[in-house]
Amino acid sequence: MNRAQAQAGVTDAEFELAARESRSFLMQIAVASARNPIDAEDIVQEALMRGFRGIRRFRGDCPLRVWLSRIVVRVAINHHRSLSRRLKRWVFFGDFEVDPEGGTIEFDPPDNSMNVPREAMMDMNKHVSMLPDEFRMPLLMLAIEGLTIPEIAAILEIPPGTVKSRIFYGRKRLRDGLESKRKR
Amino acid sequence: MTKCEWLNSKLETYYCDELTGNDLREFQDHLASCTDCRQQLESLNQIDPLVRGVLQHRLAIAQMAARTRTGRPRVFKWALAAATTLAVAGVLLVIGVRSVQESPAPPIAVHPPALQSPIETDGIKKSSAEEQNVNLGKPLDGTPVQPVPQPYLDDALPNGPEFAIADAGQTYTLEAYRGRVLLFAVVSSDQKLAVSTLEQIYEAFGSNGRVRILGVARHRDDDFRGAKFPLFVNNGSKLLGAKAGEFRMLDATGKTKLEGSLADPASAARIKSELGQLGIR
Repeated sequence: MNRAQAQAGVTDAEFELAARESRSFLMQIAVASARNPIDAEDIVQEALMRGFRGIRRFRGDCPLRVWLSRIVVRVAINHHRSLSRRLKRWVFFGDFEVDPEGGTIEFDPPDNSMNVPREAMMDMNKHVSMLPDEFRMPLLMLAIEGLTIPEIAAILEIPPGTVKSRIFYGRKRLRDGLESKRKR
Repeated sequence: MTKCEWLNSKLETYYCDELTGNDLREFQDHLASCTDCRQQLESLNQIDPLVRGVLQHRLAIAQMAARTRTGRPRVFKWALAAATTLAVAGVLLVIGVRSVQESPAPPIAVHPPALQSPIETDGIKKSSAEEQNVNLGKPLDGTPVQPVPQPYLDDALPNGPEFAIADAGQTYTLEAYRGRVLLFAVVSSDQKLAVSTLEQIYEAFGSNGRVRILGVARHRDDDFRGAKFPLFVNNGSKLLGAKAGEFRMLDATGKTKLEGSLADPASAARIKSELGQLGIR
């Protein structure tokens, strides 16, 4: 354990344990941050690898899962920008209908436990995909069970007031999008 | 401004929990009496359950994709790798044949392609650039191929910036250190003297918030476990001209104040003296 790790109190074994325990949480953060959910697993893998390598920079001033979530968000943003990965997706998922820009996936929602009509869900998914990152991320993060506004603010490294404001405008855009479709 | 317009203008404040006192009372009173405004608020409140549904839907897709990937990708990866190798071999063959036709040429080393935007990419991408630093086949006159040395991360890319280092997916340029003294050294784990000198300096001054002391690893795979200073990797930058074992000290405005080699036993004293002159103890 080096000095920075000692200061933060994180050994390699503790990091591995925390990473294992936070994995499903990080997967949700990745799904909320990625344009396309099929990238989420890759994003989490890469973020954990970077987290392990960069653990020296963890100063213990926030929970480890928040620190790891920040890396997940950064990786997700960079991931979308990478053309090579987008091309690779076509190779691996050629038998799914994937829109490389918007990340809309045209097959039945596997989970309909929310009791929402399929068409409404697909519409909503499309509109959510079209939201800019700054609105989509906090809005989807708010839907993660147990994640609070201060935690979202810590993950996105913006003030809580800004998170609330972006969530509001995200909701408004979604509502306006759905209403304009209904009127057509 | 009508009451409805007023309520509309206060919606953001209301959702941000910042509407208080008389404004909040007025807002609630109008809401109780106006069906249109109430419907507007309800339509906004109906978005959240749908978003939760979208998140669940996306999570299920992510899990399905992860399962699909563990079952299928290797075949595709190998197929892709094989196809790429064949394509590269074909291109090299054509180049080779052309060069024979034109004039006998010495072995050509292809330099790593320039990063289009070093800030947006991290060091991991460069490892693939490194891999492309290959010799293009055997020379035609039969002389043995000279092995191309593995490039280090402190080798700047052709259009690399002056200074860009990365850690945990984040890239830092000199801007990040403005307002503080920056001391960095380019190190590799086999340079014991340079590493221990940097450790000594970090031990002495690292806790002072006015200075940032860090190492820039020459190679990603260098084992620096136990190093007592923060470690970064070069992101294709020129590192202000610093080579292996060398250091640079910049003042708060980004101007280089001191440079040299950490292998020089006098360097530690020079650095300490310069830091002292800058008021850092």
